[in-house]
Amino acid sequence: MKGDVDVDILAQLLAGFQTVLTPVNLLFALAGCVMGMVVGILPGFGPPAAMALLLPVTFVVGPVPGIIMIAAILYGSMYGGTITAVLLNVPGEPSSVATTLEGYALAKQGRGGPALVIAAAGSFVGATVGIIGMVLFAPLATAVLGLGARDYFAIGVLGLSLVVGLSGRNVLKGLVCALIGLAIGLVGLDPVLGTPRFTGGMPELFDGIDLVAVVMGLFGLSEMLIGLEQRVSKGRLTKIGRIAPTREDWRRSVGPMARGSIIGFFVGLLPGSPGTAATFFSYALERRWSKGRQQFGRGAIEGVAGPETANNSLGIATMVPMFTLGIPSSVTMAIMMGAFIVHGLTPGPLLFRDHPDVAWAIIASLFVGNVILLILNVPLIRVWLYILKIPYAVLFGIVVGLMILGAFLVTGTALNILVLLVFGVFGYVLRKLDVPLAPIALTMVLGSILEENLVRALLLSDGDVTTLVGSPFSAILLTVAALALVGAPLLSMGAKRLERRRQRIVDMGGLPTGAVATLDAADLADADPSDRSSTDRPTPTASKGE
Amino acid sequence: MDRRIASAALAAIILPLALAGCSSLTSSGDGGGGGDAADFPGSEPITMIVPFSAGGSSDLMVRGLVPFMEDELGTSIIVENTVGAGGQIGLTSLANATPDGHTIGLTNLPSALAYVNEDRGATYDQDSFEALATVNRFRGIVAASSTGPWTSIEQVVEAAQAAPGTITVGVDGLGGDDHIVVTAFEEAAGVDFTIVPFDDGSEKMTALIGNQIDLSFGSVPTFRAQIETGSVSALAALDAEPIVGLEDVPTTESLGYDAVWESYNVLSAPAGLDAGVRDTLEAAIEAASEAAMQDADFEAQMTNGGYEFGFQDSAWTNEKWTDLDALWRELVPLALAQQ
Repeated sequence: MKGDVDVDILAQLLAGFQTVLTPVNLLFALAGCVMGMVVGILPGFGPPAAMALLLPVTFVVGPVPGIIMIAAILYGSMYGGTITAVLLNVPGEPSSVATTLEGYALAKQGRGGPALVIAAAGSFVGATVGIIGMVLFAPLATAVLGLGARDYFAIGVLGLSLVVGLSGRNVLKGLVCALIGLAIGLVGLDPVLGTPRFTGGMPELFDGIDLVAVVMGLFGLSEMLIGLEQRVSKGRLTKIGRIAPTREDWRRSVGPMARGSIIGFFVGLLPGSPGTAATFFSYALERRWSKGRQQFGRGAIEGVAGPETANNSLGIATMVPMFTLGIPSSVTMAIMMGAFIVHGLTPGPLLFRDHPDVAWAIIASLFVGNVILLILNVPLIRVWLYILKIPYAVLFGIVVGLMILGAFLVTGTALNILVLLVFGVFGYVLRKLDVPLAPIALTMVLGSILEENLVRALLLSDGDVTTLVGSPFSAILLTVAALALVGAPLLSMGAKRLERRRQRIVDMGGLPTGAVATLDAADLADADPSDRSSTDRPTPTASKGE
Repeated sequence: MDRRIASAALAAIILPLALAGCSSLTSSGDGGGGGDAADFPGSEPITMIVPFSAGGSSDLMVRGLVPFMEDELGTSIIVENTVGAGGQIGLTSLANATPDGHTIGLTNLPSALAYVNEDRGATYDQDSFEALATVNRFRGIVAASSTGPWTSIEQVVEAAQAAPGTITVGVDGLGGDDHIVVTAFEEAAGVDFTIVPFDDGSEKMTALIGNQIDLSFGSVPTFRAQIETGSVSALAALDAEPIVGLEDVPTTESLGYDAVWESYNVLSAPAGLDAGVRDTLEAAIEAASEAAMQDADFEAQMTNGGYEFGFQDSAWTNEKWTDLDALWRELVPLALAQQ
């Protein structure tokens, strides 16, 4: 019985591949991938706008090629988003922020090429795992329906506990930033009363401050301003090194990719969960547990591999609630669902019963599209690296111009350009004060989820606070969050002590631990000494900054 | 055939790039040559402001109808999605546009009535618009999870009367259309629900299927997929007459509750429009609606999407708007006072 079903799925999936591998469908997959990459690369241009623009095309060409293209735009953009994040430290959307942390540090050492290759490979792995998960574990989407407001609140609290991990050396500054992020999330309609709050009477702010504009300003524009300043005082900041990752890079990326794809998949399954947090979850996990954790802050490939993989696995997993339950869990999914509906197709279990050919063709196209993206991306990395050779004045003009245009197009209101500029200057000041910015991106994503789900949980329990630990899931997550908060300082203290002891052994000519020794050799060989002052001491210690 | 698709694919690659460049330039279609009614519309394009995101049910309907309107008017119509604040941003820019007929827009009822809530600081009301026509209606239902305890609306009402506040109802947007109909139902049935706010319809649906909330009120298309798969069941039609496709579901009127879901796609221009221009536009919409109904593709799109497409003139629309405006002025304060 069970075997029959599996064979059936396999046969239908193969039939799906057959449909996708026709010239017309391949052409539309390619078109979607290219467009996705383009909107991904351009800061501020997100997939929703491109998908909506091309929705009418699906009326003409029919459901299969049309939806294949629309879906390809979504996951294609995730490949493209990495490029400016790594090479310029300019994230185009909240989900790219985690990649900038280590990716840009690598690019500064002339290792932008390997970082981009690993990111592309990670994106491919994440998407593949996502697709396999979608085929095999789609029923999980029904299981997570049992999660309620208190469970989502607990996920948010767990996310908050990552702030410490993202704060680097100065936890206090990190906490201040976390509050700034939460404060940004307060603007909008009050979730209890429905009345405007901190909007200054501007309806443009009823939906909250646009996070894309905030991220572009805080991270991207501020970085461009710093670059402008340094350009005046110093020489070139970046150089093109070798492109292929070393065997060491690959070896170190395997674990983060495996963990990242699982994190991304499960976060994506939860409708209404903070999707962007998956990249931060992955980053924080690698920073704490991966073998290369000592190098975090100075360009650790794990910090690129994990979040990028998580992001793409997440992107595929967000489609699961639509395919299994008919629920679009994001703006992009709502547009995709529109593409199904205009053709008389109802996303959900009935799609697999009534139109299995369409459903499986689209699932197969996800895999084919990701292969196309991998093939497209890797050779193009050589081209992208030449972004670094563009004279800074020209680059500044192009990037800032695109950000302003992008900010305007996201909402169609000029106010968003002001948001971009204000947060650009704010980010510049924070960078000057050596304040870690990542916690802001994390908490502004989490803020509304925390507040709304707390309100909902309390409304549903008639105000009983103990409801928050009333489900096993929420109780476990809140415990983990508490342990992470209390345990993190203890653990890092222990790790430092252990490291010091190991160091003494190395200094005394004792047995060096293989991993640490090779890591350092590779790091030193690739690093450009003029970029970093801290390479003079070859010993990695946790306290050493970038 | 294949070549046509191939060229569409090519256009698909090039178009968004071109449009991304242009869309900021086309954003203000007003100003310039108005001319008198006899010349309208001339060759100048008409901008259609849709205050909702692309791909939504209203947007898809408008984009389907626009080609027929272009045929009638002999000029091009640019659909512009001006999104934000539940439609308030788009409606504000429509109300402020030059009333020369070259800017029209979608003023859905009852969502345009959010101006009734003074907290929202809307700078427009019914008098700011010149209604042209109504082109579509959505009907609504009360739904519950199929795996939950509720099988009939009477059962829910009984439970709610026995223990006020124990029945939870999800709404997507406080003071929004579903919240107001919930309030009307509470008044009509003499019950008191606990209102649980959600960000959007999909969060509300997830909570309903997962039995996190007891009931959800909404338009039929939003529940279609889940009703077909059997994860959600309709307890009552919020209507006077049975809903096509859901004939077995009892109506609120037959049960004696005065709560009806009325939701319309309305096309309007800014107030101050020349009467001749209004008549031209109204006639064009009527003719376009008739032409669209004859078109098999359009008809299929309407049926598939759960639309109840049909033209109603400006007089009918104005009257409906006035009625709903009065109803909302009564219900909105009640709805918000509960919170």
